[in-house]
Formats: sequence, C-alpha cells, structure tokens
Amino acid sequence: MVVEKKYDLTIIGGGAAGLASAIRAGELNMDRIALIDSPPYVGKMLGGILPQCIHPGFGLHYFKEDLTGPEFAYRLIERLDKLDIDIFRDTYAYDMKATKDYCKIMTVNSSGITRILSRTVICATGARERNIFEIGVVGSRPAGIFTAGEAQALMDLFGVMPGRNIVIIGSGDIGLIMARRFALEGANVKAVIELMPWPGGLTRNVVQCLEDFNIPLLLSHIALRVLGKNRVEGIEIARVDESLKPIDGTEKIIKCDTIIVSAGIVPRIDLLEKVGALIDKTTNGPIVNDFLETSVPNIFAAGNVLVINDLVDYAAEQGEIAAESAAYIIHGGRIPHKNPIKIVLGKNVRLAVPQLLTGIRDTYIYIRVKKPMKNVYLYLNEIDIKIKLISIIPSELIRIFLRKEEISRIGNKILNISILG
Amino acid sequence: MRRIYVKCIICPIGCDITVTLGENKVLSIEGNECPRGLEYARNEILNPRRYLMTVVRVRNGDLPVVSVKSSKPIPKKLIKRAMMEIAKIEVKAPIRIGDIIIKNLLGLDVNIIATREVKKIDKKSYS
Amino acid sequence: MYNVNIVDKILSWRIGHILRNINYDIDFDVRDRIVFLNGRVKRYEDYIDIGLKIGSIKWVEGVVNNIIWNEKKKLEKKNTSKKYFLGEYDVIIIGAGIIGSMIARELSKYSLKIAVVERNPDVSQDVSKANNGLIHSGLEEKLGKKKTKLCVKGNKMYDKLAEELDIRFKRIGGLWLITPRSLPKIRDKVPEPLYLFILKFILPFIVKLKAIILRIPVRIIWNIDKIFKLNPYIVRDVIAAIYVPTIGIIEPYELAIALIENAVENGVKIFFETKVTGFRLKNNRIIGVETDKGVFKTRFVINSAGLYADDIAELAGTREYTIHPRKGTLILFDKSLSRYVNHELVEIELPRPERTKGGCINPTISNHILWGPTAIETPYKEDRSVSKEELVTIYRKFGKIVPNMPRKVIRYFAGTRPATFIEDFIIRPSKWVKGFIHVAGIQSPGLTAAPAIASLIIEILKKEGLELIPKRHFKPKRNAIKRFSMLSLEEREKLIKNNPKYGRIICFCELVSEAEIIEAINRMKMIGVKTITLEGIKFRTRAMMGRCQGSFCCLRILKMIARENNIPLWRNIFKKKPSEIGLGDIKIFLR
Repeated sequence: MVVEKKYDLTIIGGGAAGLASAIRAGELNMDRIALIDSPPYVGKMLGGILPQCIHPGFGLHYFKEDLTGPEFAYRLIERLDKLDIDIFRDTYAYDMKATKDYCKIMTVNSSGITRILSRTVICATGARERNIFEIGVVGSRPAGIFTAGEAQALMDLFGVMPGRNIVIIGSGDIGLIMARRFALEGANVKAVIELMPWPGGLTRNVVQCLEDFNIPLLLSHIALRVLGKNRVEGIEIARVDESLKPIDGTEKIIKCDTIIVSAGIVPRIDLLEKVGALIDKTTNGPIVNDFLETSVPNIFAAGNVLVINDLVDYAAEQGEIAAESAAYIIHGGRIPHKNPIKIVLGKNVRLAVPQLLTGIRDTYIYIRVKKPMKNVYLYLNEIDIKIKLISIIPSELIRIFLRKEEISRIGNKILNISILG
Repeated sequence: MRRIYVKCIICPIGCDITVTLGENKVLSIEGNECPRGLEYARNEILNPRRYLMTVVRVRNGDLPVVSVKSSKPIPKKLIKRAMMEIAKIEVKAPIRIGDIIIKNLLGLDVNIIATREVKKIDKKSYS
Repeated sequence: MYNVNIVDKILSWRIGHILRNINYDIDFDVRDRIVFLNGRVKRYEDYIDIGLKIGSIKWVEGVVNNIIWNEKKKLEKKNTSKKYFLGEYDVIIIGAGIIGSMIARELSKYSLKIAVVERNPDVSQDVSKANNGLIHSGLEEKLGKKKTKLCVKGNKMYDKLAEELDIRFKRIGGLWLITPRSLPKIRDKVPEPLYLFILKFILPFIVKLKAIILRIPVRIIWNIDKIFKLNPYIVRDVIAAIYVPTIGIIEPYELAIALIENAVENGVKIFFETKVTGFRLKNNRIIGVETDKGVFKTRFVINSAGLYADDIAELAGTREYTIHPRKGTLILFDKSLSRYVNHELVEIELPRPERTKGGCINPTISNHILWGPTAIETPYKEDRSVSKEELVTIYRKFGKIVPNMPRKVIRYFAGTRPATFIEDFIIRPSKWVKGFIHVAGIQSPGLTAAPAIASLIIEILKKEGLELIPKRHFKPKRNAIKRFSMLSLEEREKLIKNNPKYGRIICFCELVSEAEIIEAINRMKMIGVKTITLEGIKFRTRAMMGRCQGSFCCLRILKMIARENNIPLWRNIFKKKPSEIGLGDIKIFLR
C-alpha cells in the first residue's frame, strides 16, 4: 500500500534554495510543508553541494558575513530544525505530474514509496556538472577524469587525493578553487585551460588560486583529446583563433595523471521536463514569471535549477521569493497568466530571469552578459532606465530591482534589456 | 629600483596598481582609485597574507575529514609550512562548528577552526 | 611436413598473379589453404590492402599477414607461465566475451568439466561491450559467407534465449530508406526520372529478392505517408522503404553477464585476470594450457579470444590468420530524444562502401539513441580512442536520416573489431593441432550469430571426438537482478518492504537503487571476479550510464565497493588495473 500525503507546499531539493524557501514558508504561516532531499554524496546530509564547498564567499549578502559553504548550510539547517516541516531525508522524487487541483509527486526512500499531493511545488533541484563528452574532448576514456565537483567531494568529504599531476579544463570559479585545493595539498597543477580569451572566474580567484601558486592559466586554449590506457597519461591542447577553432600546428601534450573538467553546470530539469514546463534555451532552466512560477501553474523554481547562480545568496533569495509566491497562492491569491510582459535580450545580454513579468509586483531581474566590459550601462529600453556598471564579466550574475511602478510604464508588453558602451 | 604590478581585488573596479620598490621600502604606489586599494597593494607587496581553508583528518567520524579555516589570514610564505603542520594532525570526533582544532598555529596567534559538524560513529561506515 | 594439394597450387598461381601487379616485393607461401605473406611496405594501408586482396580470393581460408609496415611493432610484455596446477577440464574456453560466454553456457548443458580463461577482471570487456547491440536480420550480409547463414539462424534463437536468461530484448524492426542518395554511382549517369524510377521500383525488388534467397521476411513500403506515420522525423526526400521486422536490440554486456552467471550456476568455472601464455602438446594434440596463474590439463581448447585470437593460435603453433583491428566509434544520445528513433534506421547506399556495413541509427533497449559505427583500420588492438574526424563523419552521415534530431550527446566511445583478412568467421578445428578449435574473426554480425555459433561448436566438438552427454539437471533459467526502474508501483513497494535498500536511489539518471548495486557486487563475487570494477557494476545495473555519466553516483558507488571489499575508497579500480581512483588519503603529499 503506497502511502499518500497531502501538503500545501512541497519543496524538492534541500540545497541553499530549498532550505531558504522552506524557512521562509515556515515563517509565512503555511500549514503543511514538505521538503524532499536526496543528497549528492552523503546519505541524510542536508545542504546540497554546500558541505563540500569549504571555501568562503557564502552569505555576504544573506547573513552579512563571509562564511564557508558548510557554515552557510548549517545556519539554514539550524533555522529549519525549529520549524514544523516534514523533511524527507535521503528521498528521491522520481516523477511529477500536474493536475488541475494539485501536483502529484512520486517519492521513494528506504521506507517505501510515498505519493505526495501538493497544492504548490517549488522545484529547487539544483544543477549538475557538464561531463567531458559534453565539451567535445575526444581520445581515450581512462580512469582519472573527474568533474570539479567530484574531485571536491573526493578531497573535502572523503579525504582522498585523486592524483598527482593535474590539468584543469575551465577557468570558472569552481575550477580555480579546485586548482588551489590541489596546490595547497601538495599536488602539482600543471595548467588551467580556458577556451575564452578571458578568465571565467573572478579576478580575486585568479590571483589567490592561480597566481599565488604559479599555476599557468592558458587562455584561448582548447582541450582536444585525452591520452592514456588505463589511467590518464596526458591531454592534448591547442590554441584557438577568434572563432574558437583550434589552430593547426599549435597542438601540444601536457603530461598528467588527472583531468578535472570544470566546464560549467547545467540545471537539473528532469522533473520539470516530466511535468511539461517550458524550458528556456539560453538558461537551460524553466521559463518563469516574476513570481518564479513556471509555465505549469503552481509549480515554482528557485536556485540553480532556475538559473546558474554564482552567489549562493541569490539562490537562497530566489527560494524565499518562490516561497512567498506559494504562500500567496495558498492564501487565495491569483497570479495572472494572460499577456505577460516579455523580456527581450539585447546587446551583450546572454540571459535574463525571470523571462516574463506579470506587472503586478516588484521584482528582481538576474542578468548574465556575454562579454566582459568596463564602464557600461545596463539599459532598459521601454522605461528608459540606465544603470551604471563599472565592470561586468560573464561569470558574475547582475541583479537589478524593478518596482511595480517602473514596470507599469511599459506600454507594449516588451522590455528590452541591453548593455550600452 | 623595481616595479611590481598588482591588480586590486577589493572592489569590482579592479584597479591596476603599480608599486615602485626601493632597497627596503616602498617608493610609490600609483593607479589606485581609493585608499583601500593603497592599503591592499602595500600589504600584497610587503606582507601578503591569505586565509587558509583546508581539511583535517578525523578519527571515528561520520566523514574522514573535517573542513577548517584559519581565524586570521596567514603570511603567504608560511602557507606551505602551515599545511604540513595541519597534515600531521588527526582529530577525534565528535566535532562542532567553531571548535578549535589547532590553537596558535606556528606561533602566529592564528587558530584553525572547524567549519563543519562531524558526528561520532563506532565503526567505519560512511553509508 | 605438409601436403601439396591441388587447391594450394591453384591458389599459389592466383596469388602470384595478384602480387605481381603490386608495387611491392611480397613473398608468399600457401599451406592447406592458409596464405602466409612476407615482405615490406611503406604504409599500414598497403599492409591492409594486400591482405584483403589475398583474403578475398575464393578458397583462401586464412591470411597470416607478416608483412612489415614502416613502424616498429611494440613487443607486448611476455607473461611468464606459472607451474601451479589449476585442474583438469574437458574443454577450456579462452575469452569470456559474448562468444566465449555463449559457448560456455551451451557446453554446460552437457556432463563435462568446463573452464573459461579470461584475461580481464570481468566478462565482456573488450570487443563485446562496444557495439550497438543490434540483433541483425542478416539481410545486409554478403551472400555465400558463413556469417550470413549463422546470422539468420542466430536471430531466430534470441526470443528463447532472452526468456531463459531474463535479459531485455525487443524486436524493433528496421526501416531501410531509399533516398536520392541510394545509388550514387548511377545517379549522374542516367536522367533523373529514370533514376527515380529505378530507386522506387527496381531497387526495392532487388532487396526483396535477396531477402527471399536468405528467407528473411521483409515488406516494401511505397506509401510515403505510411513511412512518416512510422516515424515523422525521417528525412523528407525518402522515396520508399524496406521494413525488416526481425531486427532486434539487446544490451550486449547484459547478455554476456547473464550467460556466464547461468554457466557458472551449471558448473562452469571461470578464471579471471588469467592470461594464456602457452600450450602443451603431445603428438600435435593439445594436452594442456599454460597461463600466468598456472597450468590446466585438457584435450580441447576453444579459441574465442577476440582481438587476441591470432596471438593465442600462434602460441599453439596453429597461426592460421592475422587479426587486423578495425575501430568503430558510436555516439550515444539522451533518452529524451527517444521519440526520434523507434526502429533501426538505415539509408540504403549501394554499392556498399568497402569494409563496413555502414552503420545505422538505432534505439537502445534503455531508450537512448546510438549513431554509428565508423570503420577505421588501426594497427593497435587496444586503440579505442575516439577522434574528432570520426565524430564529424557520424554527424554528417547519419544527420541526413533524421535531420532535426537535437544533438544532445551523452557519450561517445569506440571499440575494435577483430577482423581477419578473409572478412568472414573462422569457425573450424585447427588444421595442424588436434583439439584446438578456432572461433576467430567474429565481428558483426557476431552478436546475432552467437547462439548459432555455439550450436555449431557443439557439432564440431562432437566430430572431433568429444563425448557430449546431455545433463539431466541443467538449469536453463537465470534470473536477472530486479530493477527498481523496470517495476510497477506495487512491485516497487513490495521490494522495498522486503529490502529497504531498494528504496535508496543511488543513480538518479537511470533510477538504480542501492540494493541493485550490492547485488551486482555479490554476483560478481559469485562468478569469481577478483577485482570489483566500476565498469562491472555499470554493466550489471546501468548506474553511471545516464545523462550525468556518473558525476553524482560514481562516488557513492565507490564508497559501496570500498565498504563491501574492505578497501580504502581511493583504491577502487575503474576498468582495468592499474587505474585506481586516487593515490591515497588527501594529506599523502604533505606528510
């Protein structure tokens, strides 16, 4: 006999966004709240990926303190424990279907299967890392190839040294931080390979993770193929031209025994796909309105599944907004779906979330640019708002706040966002 | 006389600062837009320091390592020695966030503090 | 001492004629229809070309190609034999791939002592794991070749096999498309209306005629709407299609594992991580097998050693062929695209490009999609690297068939085919050593033909004097590991109540539970696997084979293996030794 449980709100995911939304929901007097969490590496541990992120940079906005990942998670978990929320630990939500009245979520853990019927759902399932095939590296497939997150879990959860001579593909913050981890523990990081002509992560990390340890950063280089029979023996790289194509004759082989793939993370939208939510090709996450509601009514999204956040504070904030939206629905509110204002991406804007505005509320908009620039303006065409930005880089999400009054000035249901030099 | 180029990381502007050094002292610092940059550049040249984040081995815990951070930044040139000191230690579970794992590391008045909780378990099973 | 017979003489004359017209100085020898080639060429392609030319001569039964091409051959480390006595067996099977496993299970139906010797830590680790899992109809094979008949026969045996062994098998059928690209050689030579007429009304009947000869059921579909109803994503300029209903799909390593489990249950012993180093003969008859772990006493040896069959034959003094590895790359696409492909999809192209069946698009039994394989000659048996060019070739060739399928790649991989120069199966007793049975050159359609090959081996062994008394208590049925992902809601509930570990999902992408992984480890131990590898678990449970390719579940599985095996986490092996996951604990460089 399958157990059936009914909730007003079910939060899927116990990482930063999920925990923050559960706390907010508890504060907002919602009655029956459930949190479903299946931890990535250690059974029953809440916090998603945070317990293994032992470096600081978490909570500068949210707690006004510079905390490490596990400390940030602990603060949230502490507050969560005080609330009356059904927490399903080490439980996996494997299916989701939406009907008119509720959303049906099938979950499983070692006690059995529970069918959850929930009036509202917040999907906070986070992101997964790109693997080596997704970035087109060919060659052999030996042992010794790890994603940055795997290497991080191996080292900082399980105390294992993955290898001796390391090459890291990708200079995003995660790759840079792993470079420092390896170097600190005495391994030999031979190079960080970056496709673009600029580093993927923050300058602070380039200085403190690479320059501090004399680790070469090879910009405008591409990883071509892996060499090695049973274990990695080397990686072939080449320089690229302006169109990011490898230049003949520049190929060279770096000998190594470990390759770390740090080529970005991608939202885990499996459940959203199952329930038919529309996905935005620029974010790889769901299309949402300013209530963070997906195209399926009463299903919300927050955190890295919605848009890849570089600050955990934003993920938590999105969790709170989603919780507030769910509470709004439970307490009788209605979210208009007809004729939303569409956000259109202009010059040098890669993505913007939310993609739709109802116009009936204030909202944050999270924006990512394509190319780094200095001394520019973020320009919102239809309402003639110019925001000065001193330095923009693709790896830093820009967050702006728009008030309902400003949004109401939009006439023709389109808001154009662009970067002007 | 030497010139060293430092990229300031205090704020997003990222000033490119030029520090001119004489025999044993700083002759000039140029390129900063604010006094914090001045301070940063001076420290980076004369006494660069970094916070240290690493893990320490644990005995009888639900995980084999505990994440730690230094209470204060450590001089850059002593990081390697600090890491080697820390590598010698094995700490026993249980551990709470904030526990001092190593007091006064290398006599620098810096503590190594736990940033993660570790529960005690009897046998080796990290389910 | 050899007999000079008439056929050898005729072959010598023919071969001499061919070799005279080649730019190189090649010596040859013919003995019992086996051709030995010697000489020197500049390029590897020439080595292959000459070998294939000679191998295609009628009545040639094997080409031993000792021609040196310009690279120094890397001498593989010679393994030393151990003197330790490992036992006496009626038959020793070398190689636990699909063929070896199938033969082992077949032989386990008789009252015989059977042993399998496998160099890798697990079954199905070389040729048998890197193919697209198709159970072919036989229609694409050349008429007159042994492999064609065995393929057609083997295809029919899969329903019973799948049922007995509890493996997944589905007859998905094949849609062979006739498009304007199907007859490239005559396309420019005839006016277009005639070309289209030939494509639509003559070519289908040529194919149908071949099908009738081979006794393979096919249906010609002329109605374009019907074709698009079967698959709305097919290229728009399709002209007609041949539907081949008997084409099926399985997961090849799932089959090999099931076969070995059943064989072991029925008394077969399998020795892993054991390399054959030599043979003991008396009066040109097999009396023993030497390995790096010890010596076996036996009278019959089945050489199903795949890529290494020629090396094994050489050790026994019966080198009758040379294996020239042919690499093939496959691209695996995401499950979410499964609606694009429900049959084997092939764009007919005649004449067929040399040396390859052409490859195809097919769904896997787990609802992913495969494109490929390519066919590249490689001198290295262990070369399974994928090259950019091969990926481009696959995209170009198969992208034409379903032009709008998004390219959501999960993984690409390559395997090497153990091709011989006669491009057919070599299944026969050795010409010069009694008791030694060749089962070599088993490339496609080897998987399909495997059950028929096993039956053929039984016949051969009977003829060679092995007494085959059927067992009274043969257990034909084997049960697979119950998979959470494949069960109904009620079955899942029941399973978890019985064993809570079925409720802990370890691999999210493929919905694999902890219980299945523990059972996989146990089953590996049960058949005698000494080193539990990640890949062994992968193939038994499908963990790590989904979208994320293990980036979440790999570490959890490593923990479980470490726990079950009482080894530190970092000592886990990925595929083969040496390939430990890590070097030691994290402070290993600092202490």
